[in-house]
Order: sequence, then C-alpha cells, then structure tokens
Amino acid sequence: MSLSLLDDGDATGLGPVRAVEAARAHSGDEVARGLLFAIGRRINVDGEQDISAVVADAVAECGLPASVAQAAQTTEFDDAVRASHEAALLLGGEGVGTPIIGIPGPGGERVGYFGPVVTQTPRGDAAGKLWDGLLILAANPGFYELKKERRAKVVCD
Amino acid sequence: MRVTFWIDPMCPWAWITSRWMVEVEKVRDVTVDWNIMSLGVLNEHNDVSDDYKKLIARTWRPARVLCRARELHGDAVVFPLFSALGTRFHVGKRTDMEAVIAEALAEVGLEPELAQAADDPQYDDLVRQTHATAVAMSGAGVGTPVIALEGVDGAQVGFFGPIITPIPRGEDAGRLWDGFVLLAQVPGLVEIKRSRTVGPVVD
Repeated sequence: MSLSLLDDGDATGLGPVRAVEAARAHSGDEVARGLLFAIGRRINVDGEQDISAVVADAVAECGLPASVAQAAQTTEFDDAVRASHEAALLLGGEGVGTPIIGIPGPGGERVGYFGPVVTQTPRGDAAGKLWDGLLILAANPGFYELKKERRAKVVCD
Repeated sequence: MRVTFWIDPMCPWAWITSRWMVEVEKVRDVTVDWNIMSLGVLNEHNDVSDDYKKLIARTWRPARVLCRARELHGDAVVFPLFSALGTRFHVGKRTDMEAVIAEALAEVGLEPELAQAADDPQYDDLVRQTHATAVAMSGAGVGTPVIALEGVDGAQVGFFGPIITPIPRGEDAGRLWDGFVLLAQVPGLVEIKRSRTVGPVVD
C-alpha cells in the first residue's frame, strides 16, 4: 500500500512501491517482499534520505535488474500500485493508515486492521502476546478500535 | 485483577464497552473501579460540526451530576448512577434530560436536589479533574471509555476502547478480556483500528 495515496493521492512518494510492484511482476511475491524490506530497512533503520539511491541499492541487493529501479520513475506499475493499495483499504476501511494487516476472522474470512501500531518492535514473548491478542480481538467482528496517545519516540531497529 | 474504567454516560460506544466489562466481572477474576470522564472536556478545543457541538454541550449536565454525587457520597455511587443514566440514554433512547436525571437519581436512592448540579458550572472543575485522571492513562487525543489495567512489569497501562459492538456476553466477553490483557502486556502498543462499518448496538 502507499502512504502517498493515503495522504493526498499524489504520486511524488510512489517510487519505492512502484519498484516493489515491478519486482513482483519480474520475480513474484517472495522477491517483492525482500525488496520491500530492503528499502524499508534503509529508510527507517539506517535513516537514508536519498530515495532514488535507496531504491537502486535495494534492487541491487535483491539481485534484481536495474530496470526494476528505473520503474520507480515511470507510471508503468501505477495500476498495480493502486490495485494493491485498494485491496488494503477494502480490508481495513478508509480513513486509517499503514500498515493494514489481514488476519483470520470469526468465520475464517480475512478481516483487516490498521496496525497494530507499536513504538518499538515486539520480540520474543511480546511478539507472541501481540499476535495472540490480535487474533482474539479480531474474532469479534464488531471490534473496531483500541488506542492510546503515541508518547514514546518510535524506535526502528 | 483490579481495573479502572472511565466513562462519559452519554457515549453509546462507552456504554457498550461498560456492559462488556460488567460481563467480564462475572466470568473472570476482575474487579472494576468505575470512574468518570467527559466528552465535553474531550471535545472542548476540537473542530466539530454544529450538531455535534450541541450534543457535546448536553454531555456536561449528567457529567456534573455524576461528579457532584460522587463528591457527596463517594465512589460507590458512580456505577449505579452511571448505569441508571446510561440505560435511559442508550437502551431507552431517551432525550428528555431533566426527566432522565431525576429518574436515575431516584432509582439509585440519591437526593433529588442533586439534579441542580446539572446546570451549575461550579462543578466543571470536578469534571475536568476526573477527566484528567483518564487522560493521564490513555494520553490525549483519544475518546471514551478509557480502561487502565496491569501492563508490562505490573505497571498500569491505559487505553481508549476497546470499541466493539454488539456487547460480548458470557465466555465471549471473557475471551475478549483475555486478548485485551495480552495486548496490554506488549510494550509500545498504541493502536489497532478499522473503520466502523456499523453503528453501536446498545443492548
């Protein structure tokens, strides 16, 4: 999905997701996921700000051809970007944010939620508790929201 | 486990969550300390529609009565008076505020003069003070209800919600509670949300 499309529907921030869709078209979901994580790590953990360089480096790291990075500058994959984004909104609804997670609901069908938003990555036991708790709440089709103010600084590692 | 639950009696979503909490007390080892918060204070500086402003203005009245009743009679009156008010607002769909307050006071056995607090701004400070204790747990920019429970390392953690409809009953209520307790133990969890596709079903 795309933060640019969520925020204002404009195309300026679409480069990375265009490249991910190009990777998906080129090599399938698994490789696309690898590229998504490689881009995300550079931006969020390493704090890199030159997005063109981030995309080019991540594409190279994943062993993908330079044409995948070049797709970030074109509209070739915008239909795929929008389709993927719309699929997320269909699950989580309008007016939320990213990420949206689709998980098994009460009848086995997928239900979508924005979040869980965490200010640090839950690891080990905390990761398990978050997943178990999320599944239990999602088993109630009418569960809509649980929230507190974001006070802590977001830590990406 | 001891839990603190803050409500504004006029919020239908807080009403549903409060009835869930009552169910949880039956099926889990949980005791609730009921407390008061205010949609009026929550929305004081928010840019809301004129219709919502009118609704918000009305919420001050039962909130003042609840706060004044607690000041005179202690914490134990909060739950029965809140429930007597909420049953009329939400289940009974009543909008005749004076009658609702008078009947609720009578049902709980409180003096009818307490109704005068509804229009007396000298009790606004009480409303603001109790509201601040909720916001201290959930942080600002959220809504009602707020629940505080034991989180990581035994420290109290507060959340707005869970927003849910219809009211989970019996073991369903217990299971939702179990999930909520798990989530409260996740350091840094701040939000899980989906767009509301149906309105509140209050009974």
